[in-house]
Order: sequence, then C-alpha cells, then structure tokens
Amino acid sequence: MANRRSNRNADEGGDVQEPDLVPMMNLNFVLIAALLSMTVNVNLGLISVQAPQLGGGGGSSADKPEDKKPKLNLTIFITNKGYDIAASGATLNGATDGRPGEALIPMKPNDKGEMDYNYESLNKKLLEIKKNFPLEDNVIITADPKVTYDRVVETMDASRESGDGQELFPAVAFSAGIVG
Amino acid sequence: MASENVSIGDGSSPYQGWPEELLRPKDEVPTRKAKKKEGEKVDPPALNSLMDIVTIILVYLIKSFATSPIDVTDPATDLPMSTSKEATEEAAVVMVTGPVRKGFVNGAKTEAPNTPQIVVDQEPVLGLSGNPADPFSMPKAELERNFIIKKLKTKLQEVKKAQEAVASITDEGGFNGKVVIIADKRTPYSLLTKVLITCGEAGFGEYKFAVIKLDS
Repeated sequence: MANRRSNRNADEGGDVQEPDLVPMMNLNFVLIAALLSMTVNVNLGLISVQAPQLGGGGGSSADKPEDKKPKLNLTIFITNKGYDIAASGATLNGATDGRPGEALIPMKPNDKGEMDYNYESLNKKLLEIKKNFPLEDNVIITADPKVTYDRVVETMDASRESGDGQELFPAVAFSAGIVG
Repeated sequence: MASENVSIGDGSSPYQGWPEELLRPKDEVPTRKAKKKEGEKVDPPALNSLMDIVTIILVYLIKSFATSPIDVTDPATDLPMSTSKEATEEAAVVMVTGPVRKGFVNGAKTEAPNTPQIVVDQEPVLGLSGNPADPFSMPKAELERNFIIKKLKTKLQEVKKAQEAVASITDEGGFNGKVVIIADKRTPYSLLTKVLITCGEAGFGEYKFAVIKLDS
C-alpha cells in the first residue's frame, strides 16, 4: 500500500506518465561542462606583510607600545651574492666569517644548475637566532631591486618556520631599501 | 493449465517452475526493439539516480565557483608557490602581470611576449615598458617622489571611496584597508615596494600577497 503509485498522472489506459527528464539532463550536463571550463583548480593562499619602511632597516609596525625591551630588529638582506643578516648593533656578512666581499650565506647551484639562494642554510641560521630570542617574531626583509618576487616569497617561507615545524619569524615587514 | 506431473506450489514437491508447454519459446520472446516495432510501450531507462548525481555535482561546482574570493585567471600572471597556510579573503586586488603570456594552440602549450600591466580590480591602470631587457620598468614621470605610482594611487583612492560608500550603506563595519597583491613571480623587488608604498599612500594599509599553496 505504501508503495502504491499515485494515479494522478495516469492516462486513460491506467499507466502512470513518467516526467521527461532528458531535457533537464541535457541542461545539467551543459552547465557542468561550462562551470568546469570556468573553474581554475588552483589552491590560493595569502601571506600577510607589514608596511614597508622607507630608508631601509626600520622597525616593524607590530610593536606593542608597552614593550620596553630593546628590539632585535632582525633584518635579512637579499643581495645579488646571497643573504646577509643584521640585528640591533651588528651586521653579519661574509667578512664576519673571514670572506670579505661575500655574503654571509652565499648562493649555491640548485637542482637545475642555476645559482639560487640557500634557503636551508638561512632557515638553520634563523633557528639559531630564534633559540637566543624566543619571544621575537618580527623580521624585516630588504632586497636588491632586481631580486624577483618568487625568491622573496621563498625567503619569507624560510623565515616563517623551521624544517620541523617550529615557528621562527612569521611577521614580515618589507623595507624599501635602495630603490632603483 | 498445469500438467498433472508438475507441482506448482501445492507443497507436495519442490517447485519446478512453469511447465514447458506454458512457456513461450525463446525465439518468440520479443526484444525491446521488436516491442517498439510492434507499437508496444517501452519502459524508459531509469534516470533518477543519474539525475541525483548530476544535480549534486552541479551544486558543488556552483558553490565552489561562487565562493572563491580571489580569481586568478590571467594567463600572463604566474604566481609563486609558498608554504603559507593563510586562507584567501575578500579585498581590493592589485595585480601585476608578467612578461610572458601562456596559452594553448592546437593542444600544445605556447608562450608569447606580454607587456606587463598593473591592474586594479580587473581594470588596467598602467602599462609597463615591456622592454625585453627590463620589462617591468616605468618612466620616472609616472612616479611621485620616486616611490609612488601616480595612476595606481588615483585608482586606489577611487576604490577606497567606493568601498567606504558601500560600507556606510551596508553597515558592515567600515572600510578595512585590505589589499591583495597578485604579482607575477618575475616581478622585481623594486616594483613590489613601489606598489606597496603606493597602496599605503592610498589608504590601504593591510597587505597580503597571493600565492599558490604548496601541498604539505
């Protein structure tokens, strides 16, 4: 009884008229094809960045007014030879390691044989700094005018967290530095 | 009429099926086509299950198409990849396109030279030089105080006014100053800082860079 069909649409012969679903199926398939062709299957993300400081090496804008401790002002310089790192009172470059004229972390060939920045070494160096300054999470990035955006993004990735997931310096501020 | 030797369910012996003399020979059973030819009614295929699946797929595609706050469909913009896990959100969009436009011709990938542009909310604002040696350079006349891109600042100020007007009507908490920068991965740092400084001058103080998430 519960499964008995309603005879509302029954014709004179007593057969139930099924609705014609074929045109609706046609429309649905066309819509699916149109939406698939318009959909871009790219997983987009965002990186938050703080305001650039004109003149280079400025402090970050995330400082709390009540924080009176001396600022680290950790700065990563992306030069055309590699990375230099600076903090309040000192700049570390190749001269610090007895290699005057070179970068602290020089470039190295990548998998394609092209010279690229040494992101792993930068990450390790920042991990050492983080151990000494565990409460600091700000970093300022300044770069040579010709350094490309993808290398800046990879530098930010290297400064955000260590290889084992420990947070390093996720709050990034850009410095305009010497703009060409 | 059943044969006396065949039980048809009276319980006296196992059921043997319909007696052969009552069955139509197999070669006389009409096929679906034959039924059609004879004018008999043919049952239509059951489309209900297929309709259910198609409708669910359609609803999913409409939902994902409509809810993406940032759309990067310009073939001249190649985003860098990042391990960032921050989700996308609604904001004004400033795009810097790249020097190479990718496409498909006869199924093969092609790359053609492109003049980079600065685009705000899908509207081109400033074309850059496109010079193969330095495609992202711009004349100094376009700059104010060496850092601020005049046309970009003007356009962003218009966008800000429009957002403030909408915020006042809809009571959504006011203008939030968020801007998403979608830049080609080859964009030089000098242009990037000029864009950021210009956005700041126009009143957009919260910057976010759009990247492609790396699967971790």
